[in-house]
Amino acid sequence: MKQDSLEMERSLEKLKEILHRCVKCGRCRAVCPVFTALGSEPAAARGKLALLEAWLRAGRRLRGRRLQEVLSLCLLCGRCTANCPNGAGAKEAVELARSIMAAQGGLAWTKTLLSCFSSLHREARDPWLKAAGFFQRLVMRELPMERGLVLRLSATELGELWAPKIKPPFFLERHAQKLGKGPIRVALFAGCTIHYLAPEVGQATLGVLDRMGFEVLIPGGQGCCGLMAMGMGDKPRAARLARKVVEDFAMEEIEAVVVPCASCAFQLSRGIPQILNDDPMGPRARLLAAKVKELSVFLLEQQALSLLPKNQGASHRGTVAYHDPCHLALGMGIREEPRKILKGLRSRSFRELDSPDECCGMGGTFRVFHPDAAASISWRRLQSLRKAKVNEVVTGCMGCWMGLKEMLHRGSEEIRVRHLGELVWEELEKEKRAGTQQGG
Amino acid sequence: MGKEDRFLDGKTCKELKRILGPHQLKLDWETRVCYGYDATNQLFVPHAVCFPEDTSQVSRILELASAKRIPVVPRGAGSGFTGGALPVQGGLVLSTERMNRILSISQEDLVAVVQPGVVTGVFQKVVSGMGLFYPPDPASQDFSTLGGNVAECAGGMRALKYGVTRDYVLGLEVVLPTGSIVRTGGRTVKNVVGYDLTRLMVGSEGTLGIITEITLKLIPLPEARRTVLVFFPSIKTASLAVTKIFSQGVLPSAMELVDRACLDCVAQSKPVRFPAETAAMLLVEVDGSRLSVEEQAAKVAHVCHGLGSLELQVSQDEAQAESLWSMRKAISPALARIRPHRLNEDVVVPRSLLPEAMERFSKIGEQWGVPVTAFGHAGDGNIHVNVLYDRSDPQEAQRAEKAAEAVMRATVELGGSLSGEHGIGTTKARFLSLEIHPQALELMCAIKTLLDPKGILNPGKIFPQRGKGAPA
Ligand SMILES: Cc1cc2nc3c(=O)[nH]c(=O)nc-3n(C[C@H](O)[C@H](O)[C@H](O)COP(=O)(O)OP(=O)(O)OC[C@H]3O[C@@H](n4cnc5c(N)ncnc54)[C@H](O)[C@@H]3O)c2cc1C
Ligand code: SF4
Ligand code: SF4
Repeated sequence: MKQDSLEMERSLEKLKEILHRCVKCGRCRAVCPVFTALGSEPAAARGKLALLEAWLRAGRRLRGRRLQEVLSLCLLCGRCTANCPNGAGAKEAVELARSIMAAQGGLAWTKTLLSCFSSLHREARDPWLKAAGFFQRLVMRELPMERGLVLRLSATELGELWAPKIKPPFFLERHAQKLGKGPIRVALFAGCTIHYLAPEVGQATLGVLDRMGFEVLIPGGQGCCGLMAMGMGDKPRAARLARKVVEDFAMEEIEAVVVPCASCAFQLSRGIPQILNDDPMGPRARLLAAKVKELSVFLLEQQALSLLPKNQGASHRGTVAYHDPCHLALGMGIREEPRKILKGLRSRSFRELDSPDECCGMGGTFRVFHPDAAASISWRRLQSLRKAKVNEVVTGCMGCWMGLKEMLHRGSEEIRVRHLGELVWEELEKEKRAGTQQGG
Repeated sequence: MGKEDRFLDGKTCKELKRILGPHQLKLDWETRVCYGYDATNQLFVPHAVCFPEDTSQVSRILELASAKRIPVVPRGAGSGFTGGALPVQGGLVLSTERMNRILSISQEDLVAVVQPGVVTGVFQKVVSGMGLFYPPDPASQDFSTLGGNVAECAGGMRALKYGVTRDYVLGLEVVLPTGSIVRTGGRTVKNVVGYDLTRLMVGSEGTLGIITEITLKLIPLPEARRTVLVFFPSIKTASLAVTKIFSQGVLPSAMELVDRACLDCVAQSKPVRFPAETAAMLLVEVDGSRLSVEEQAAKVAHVCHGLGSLELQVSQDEAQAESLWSMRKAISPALARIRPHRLNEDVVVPRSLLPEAMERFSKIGEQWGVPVTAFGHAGDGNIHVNVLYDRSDPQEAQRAEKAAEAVMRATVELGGSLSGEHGIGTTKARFLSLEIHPQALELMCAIKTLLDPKGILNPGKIFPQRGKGAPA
């Protein structure tokens, strides 16, 4: 109990510090996707900060439906933080405020349920999802089922839109604990979306790592990174999930933890060490964080480009654009690595979008609570993809992967959404085939 | 929360809702807080916020407000530096966020018609896509509105060569405080029929009428531009370079001076490297035909070398130029890294006295023991002098007040003006009489009373008076 109130004090202090740094210049109005979509001040980072400041100055506890609503108007994309001339950190303020509200008992019920569900261990969770797959259309409408992923799906279902098929067996069930044998050992953190919805991305990633000669460990019991719980302000749960990640992955014999999803990579390398800062597991969390490699960074560091075929095969597959995930570009400053890889592919030509730095509108559960704003944000993204006339759009974040798929479905576009790992794998496979043909 | 609804009884609310529709009037405290501040970082919570969508709604609101004596405060993006958009006496904040359409752009006439809530930078992008140019570029261009720009007569970096907002406003549609709708000016560059009411409205800080439509002049987009970045070992040589560049027959489109303290601030958030002994930075932009741009840039470089500049970079492409300018735009807010609060003066002095003025300002800082930084539009003598302090230290706050006053007095002594572009608002009202003659002030008051007999439109601004509103 005492620990909790201490924690609360600290969060409040941190929040106040951020609020103090904001001078209300208004620059964040120019970069905030939610503000652009809604055009009203409470949607901008500045509005949220001003409101929080007014609450705290009035000596009040953070609560109330309207405050919650205003705080929910955030994708946690980090554009405000990245562009604030004072380094005020509005995104972090929203996170802190959400966690303070949650701790004071103000989490909205849907969010609470969602958060509970994501913290169940995988074994406990899977039957739910299998059932969900079975009853997908039916169940989801009745019961916004409360894992981040499921909530996202339910949102897409509600609008009669594209919904990915949950098809057991799931990725981690199919793949052995260990793959290959090599001098360098790495671990793979799959993340929820790959596990439940996009096993092909996991398989492609594994394929690439294997071809590159790594020994890959895939801890079978691995769970959720906790980013979603964190984003909803459920810090205790996020901390529990974080400890589980550390337990599963902080192994000495591993040289890197490869993460094919940008959001998970952000959480593992930045979020978890912060959440567990004062935890006894803190030091291990930091060690783990230092080993975390987002897939594109890892591939580039390990010279994956040199393995790719050199000459352009007959089967040119058209043009490809890259969609920057917020957590990668803004959260970790990684923009060049994925582009370098895409430009290194012989089977595709790379085309830059005219406004590379735009959000897909997914933003954790943002889309669930603000479908119209999310639609308007993704519409802008769709426009730039259309303008670029590409065949495929590649991203490295499974949240964006879903967001883009849904958006393209809505726009009846022929553009395919791919994961970076898939393209690299395709290219390697092609090389192999070409090799065997030549040999034979 | 907030004050009792002194102005807004149930009946008034009902009428407002009838005019606006249910979703365009907000009464909840949370929303009202979000429309109660601007870039001065002060908060006055209004009684209500409304979001009209067209001129007739604005007119009916003002008519009602006049009848009921409800203060109405127009608000664009709330990026003003002088408190213009603050509802210091409560009442109704009228946001132009929903009046944000570009109505027409004519390539033949070089004229555009816009609603006031259009964001300046968005408009600029649209016209430049058509090969046209709207030059006024306040550092806040990415988020400030054209209505706010007109109301403050915003300037910018390119004012040097291209002039300020005023020079691009051909005509206006304005709703007067009584609710009547007036059209001023027209679509032509030349127009001398009757009094120039357009110019009266430009820079009136939302005290004479609410601008609901703006007709803007455009010019052809210059073929090329180059940005030159130079570091100097002293402010004096940097200021000298400014005059020398002119005497070489070069009229840069922008010429910005930044002192070391400001430079150190932005360096914390933007990638900028400079020699250790730098005391000032000069950012010069030249534009024109491809050929002339090279020539002008070379001349600028030559002058700077001659004066012993430390280092010089010339932008190679648009992206590089953009990043240099984005650094310049980040300066103002970034000063909060030195002290959280500031008195933000944008004084103007005759160009030739710039070196002397810079010296006097920095002495004033030393004298009062508060950080005083300077940056801004050196080309036209418009310098942003910021006196920095921390409100939580009352003594420092007091010294800052004194220093700011000294800056104003020095400016007037040098034959300068108190504000080049930010306006008077609330923050500078008490200094008005330093510059404006009593008779002129009287005339201004008379004009205000004539147009706004009930005193409902943006009360408490420009003219010295005791603001009645209580900070929240
Ligand atoms: C980082 C930063 C840099 C800046 N740099 C510059 C600069 O280089 N040059 C410069 O000139 N200014 C600058 N400013 C100041 C500010 O951006 C300008 O004054 C701008 O014109 C304000 O526009 P706004 O839409 O934010 O108006 P607001 O701040 O909302 O309002 C400003 C005034 O205009 C009135 N108003 C707004 N809309 C209307 C309307 N439709 N009809 C009648 N009155 C109206 C308001 O009542 C208020 O008095 C800067 C501000 C910031 C934060
Ligand atoms: S968060 Fe930063 S950019 Fe936004 S208003 Fe505050 S100081 Fe300006
Ligand atoms: S994190 Fe993104 S969505 Fe949230 S306030 Fe900042 S810019 Fe807006």
